[in-house]
Formats: sequence, structure tokens, C-alpha cells
Amino acid sequence: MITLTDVNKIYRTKTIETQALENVNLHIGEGEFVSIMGPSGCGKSTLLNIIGLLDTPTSGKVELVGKDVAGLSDKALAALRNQTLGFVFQSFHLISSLNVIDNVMVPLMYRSGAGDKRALAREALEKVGLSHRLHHMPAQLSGGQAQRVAIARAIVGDPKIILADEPCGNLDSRMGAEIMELLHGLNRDEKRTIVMVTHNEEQAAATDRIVHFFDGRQVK
Amino acid sequence: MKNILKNLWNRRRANAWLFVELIIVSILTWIMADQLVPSLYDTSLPNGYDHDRMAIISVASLPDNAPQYDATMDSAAMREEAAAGIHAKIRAYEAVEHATEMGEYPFPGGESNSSKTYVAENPADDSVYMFSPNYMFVPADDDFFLTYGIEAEPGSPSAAELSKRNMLANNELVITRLVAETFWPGQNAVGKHLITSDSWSGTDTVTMTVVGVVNDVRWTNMHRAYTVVFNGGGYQPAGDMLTVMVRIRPGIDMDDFLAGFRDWAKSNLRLGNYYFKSAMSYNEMMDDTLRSYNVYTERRQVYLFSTFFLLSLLLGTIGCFWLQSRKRVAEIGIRRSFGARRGDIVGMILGEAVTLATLAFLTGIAIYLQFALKLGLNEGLRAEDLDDWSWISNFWQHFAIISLIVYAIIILCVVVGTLIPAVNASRVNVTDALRDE
Repeated sequence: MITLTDVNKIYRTKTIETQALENVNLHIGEGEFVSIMGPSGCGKSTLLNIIGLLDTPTSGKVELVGKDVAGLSDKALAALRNQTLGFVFQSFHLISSLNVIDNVMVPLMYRSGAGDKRALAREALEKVGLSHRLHHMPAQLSGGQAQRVAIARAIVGDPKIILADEPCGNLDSRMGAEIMELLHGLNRDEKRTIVMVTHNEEQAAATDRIVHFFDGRQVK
Repeated sequence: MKNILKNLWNRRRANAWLFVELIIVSILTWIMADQLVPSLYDTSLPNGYDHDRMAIISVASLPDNAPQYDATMDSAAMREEAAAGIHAKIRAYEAVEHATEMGEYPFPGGESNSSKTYVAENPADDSVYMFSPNYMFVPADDDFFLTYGIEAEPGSPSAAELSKRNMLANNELVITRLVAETFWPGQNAVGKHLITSDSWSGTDTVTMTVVGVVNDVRWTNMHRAYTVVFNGGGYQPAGDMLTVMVRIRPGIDMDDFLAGFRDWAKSNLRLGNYYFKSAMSYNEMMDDTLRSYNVYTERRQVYLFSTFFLLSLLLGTIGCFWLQSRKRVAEIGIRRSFGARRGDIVGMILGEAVTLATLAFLTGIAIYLQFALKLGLNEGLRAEDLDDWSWISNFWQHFAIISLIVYAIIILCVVVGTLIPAVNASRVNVTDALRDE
């Protein structure tokens, strides 16, 4: 499903060169729930961004659903992101000017022939238990509700892979547990591949596999 | 469109001040365009005669205290003979193709004019029957139309034939195409009649027969009216000043002609008490006239003001939309991460900007229209105003044309002003954009 071969990422400025990822080799199979752990600044988010096609490696090969993404145009990358990936961010990243259902419909806006987009969005919100908050604005939601909306948005386009960057980082433990339960449900019941960055060992332990990073290197 | 309207509505607080600003901009642009467009329109109109190959020759009479003044040559008969000789010599000058003596009659492009009211006999539309054009005296048998390069319309006698007529003697006149089309559309106006008063002949009214129709001619390029009527010019005794219009032959440079003619005229146009005074191109004379009426200064002011305004509008628009799109970096990052292409982002920002500008423009012109209606600018033209035929004097045509131009200007500024920030926003680094949130 996801294969990274000898991936390096170096950030360069005029004076400093920072190696964010060093010779990362990683394979994540279909339906796996993988946690990525490590201290802050070790390259976890960079790895997630590269897998999510939001960033490009300095060298190495990235394959997603069997497709080498190197050299793909902006249009092709956007289409691949839209069809294959769903993102869940630590700070939710809902569009503040859109209500709940419109936020969930965002991925469908960039897809032709998605059917009844509103119905699909409503269905996704039902899955996360928020079908009664369709017309609320993000500012009117609690953190847990906002993250549920974000999860609904991530799954509305039926992507094979969900990338979650510290999805419970801004939530209290009860809400965090609810979100984790939702993610496990998506993995277990819908066989979605999930890659999650987390600092929480307990949450990581509940996933299929943990990948540890330190100073840009995969250490375990 | 639905998504665009929804986005605009959802961000109504952020968009409200921009909307109000664009309404004010629409009204100000209307005021600016209302100065600029008619000015450009007037400048762009053809004069209807070929002045590039025309020159004005002025011959003056010596004052009686001049050393070379000859009292024996100052009788009316001697003056007539000298004037005729001068005219003949000018006609015979090799580079001159046609010449016509204007005496002291006003001529188009000059500083004076004559006008009077005409009533059309049996017009096709009874509500349009009266007009007050500039009229021009045509000397009999003097190559007038040929000198001016005014051409006859189909169905009319030729310019050469019309030039030979003695129109004054037979109460005849020549009208322009616009006059003919207004009173007798689709018909041949030759043989139709216009009725006017004639204070010189002592009669209350005189019926004039149209003997020719020529292309549209306007009196000055300060004004847009094309309603020139050509009357027969009466006999003018040779006075202290003779003015002769000449058309030079094709292929001759005007400056070369003037230099050569001045040298030649100094000795050859010294007949009786007459002496050659000046020769200048028709274009130079028209320039002098416009300058004397401050037309160039006024136009320059309008152009400068408009350029400054448009530049400010453009920079202001770029600034506003730049700021707007900077505030939306996180949103753009989110949309990009869920599959929006760069083109989608540019399209979204441009679409919202154009829609907002369109709504503001419609509101702005609705406000401006109310103001114009309150001032009564839409009240119909009086019959005597019908000499100004252009769209500029027709309220609704004027309003529609200026509004369309204003809309085009605003949309152009909004598109240019938004495109750069939109393209920049679409190139935002998604990971940075989401980190900023």
C-alpha cells in the first residue's frame, strides 16, 4: 500500500542544512494501522507529509497504492491525494467560514461524478456520530466534535489510506479515547490503512505496529 | 457559482468592507469614465473631410498708411480684380490640386461658426423634424467639396457637380448623410425640402431644396455633432483679408509645400494692395483652435486624472485581494491537501473576487442611477437639442454604455489585481500553510 525506499529529506537554507529524514525504508501493508513515534523534531510529520504527497523527498522512492509518485504533475498528485488519502490533523484544520457539512464536502468538491455530495457528507457525519450538527460552524463545536468532523471529512471520499497527525494531541483523554475508537473502527470495519503520528504510547500500543524515529532515522 | 456565493456569504464579515469599498469604487469609476469616455469618443471621431492635405492661405490688404500702399488700387473694382488674380495664381500653383475661396465665411476647425434652425418637410417620423446644425457657406463654382475632400453619398450628384452649383441663387442646400437618414431614412433625400428663416432676404421662411447628400462632417473636434448643412454662399466683396483653402496634390509633403509656397507667394501674390500674409496647414490651424479653447489642457487633465485613478484602483485592488488571500493561506492549504489543484484555488479566488465586484458594481450603479434620476438627467431632449445625435446625449444609451465600460474596467482591475495574489496563494507550501494554523 505504502512503500518508502531510501527516502531522504534535507531542508536547506543559505546557512544551514537539516537532514529531516535519513535513509528511511518503510513498507505499510493494506489494512495496517501503524503508529509513528519519536521525540519532537525527529521527522515524524515530515514522513507523514511525504506519504501524504504534501512534500517531496530530496532523494529516494515513494510508492503509493503501487504507483511511483516521482515526477507526477501537480494535477496528478492532487487527484491521487483526493482519491487515495484522507488527512486528520492535530488542530483539526476545519475551514472556519464553512459549516460542518460544507467542511465535510470539501474533498468531494474536487472530484467529478461523486454522486450526491451532500448525502455522502451526511453519511460520513453519521458514521462519526455528528449528523445532528450539520449546520453548526466550527467555532460552535468542542474539540472532540471538531476532530470527528475532520475524520468525517477524511473518510467522505472513501480513501484507502488515512494519515493522522497526532489526532488526539489537542484533546483530553476521554475525547482522545473516543477518537481512537473511531479510527480503530475505520481500520477494523472498513479495512482502511491508517498511519498515525503520536506521542501517546498507550494509543500507539493499541495499533498493529509502531515505527520509532530519532533524528530523522528509523530506529525500530 | 453556488459554491462561490456560499463562500462569499460565509465570509460575509470579511467581505463586507471590501463590498462597500467596491461600491464606492464603482461610483467613482463611473464619474471618471463619464469624463474620459466621451472625451476619447470625441477625439476618435473622424471629421469627415481630408484635412491632412489642406492648407490655408491668407492674403491681406496693406493699410493706407503703409509706404507701399497705392490709393489708386483701392477701388472696389481694382480689389476684385486683384483678388481674382490672386485666386487664379493660387489655383495655378503646381502643387495645388484644388482651391476654394472662403472669404470671411466660418469654416470647420476654425474659431467661428454659424447655426440656424431648420424644419424638415414631410419627415418620416413626425416627432423628429427640427434641428439646429452648424451651417457652412459654399461659394458658387469654386471646387468647395473637392478642396475639402468631402464625398457625395450614393444617389447624390458628385462632389465635383455639387461644387459647380450656385446654391444661393436657387435656394438649394447640401446635407450630410446623418441628416438625410434622420429625416428620410432609407429614402433618397435629394429633392426633399428643409424650411428655415432667412433674416437676410427679409422673408420669414424660406424653403430650401436638398440638391445633394454628402458624408458626415463635423464642425470641430471639440464637439461630436455631425449635423452640418451646406448653404450657398453669397457674393462677398473683396475685403481686407482673403482666405483661400487649398488641397495639395497627393504625395507632396505638407512642410515642403508650405516652405516652397511661402517663397513663391512673397513675390507672386503681391497684387494691387494685397500681399501674402501667411500659409499654414489645416491641421495646424485646427490645433491652434483647440489650444485657444483649452481643449488639449482639459483633455490632458482628464487623461492624467484617469490614469492616476486607474493606477490607484489597480494597486488598491491588488492590495485588498492580496490581504484577503494572505488571510486564507490555511484554508488554501486544507483545500490543497484534500485534492484541490492550483487551478482550482486560482479559480475559487478569482471567481469570488469577480462575483463580489459584480454585486458591488450592480449596487453602485443602482445608487448612481437613483442619483441621476433624481437630478432629472433622464428627461427627454428638447427638439432644438436634436442637433446632438450621439449616444452621449441619450440618457439610457449613455448610462448603459458607460456602465458597461465601468464594469469592464472594474473586472479588469479585479482580475489583474487578484490574479497575482491568487496564483501566489495557489503555490503556497501546504505543509507551511497548515503549520501556520
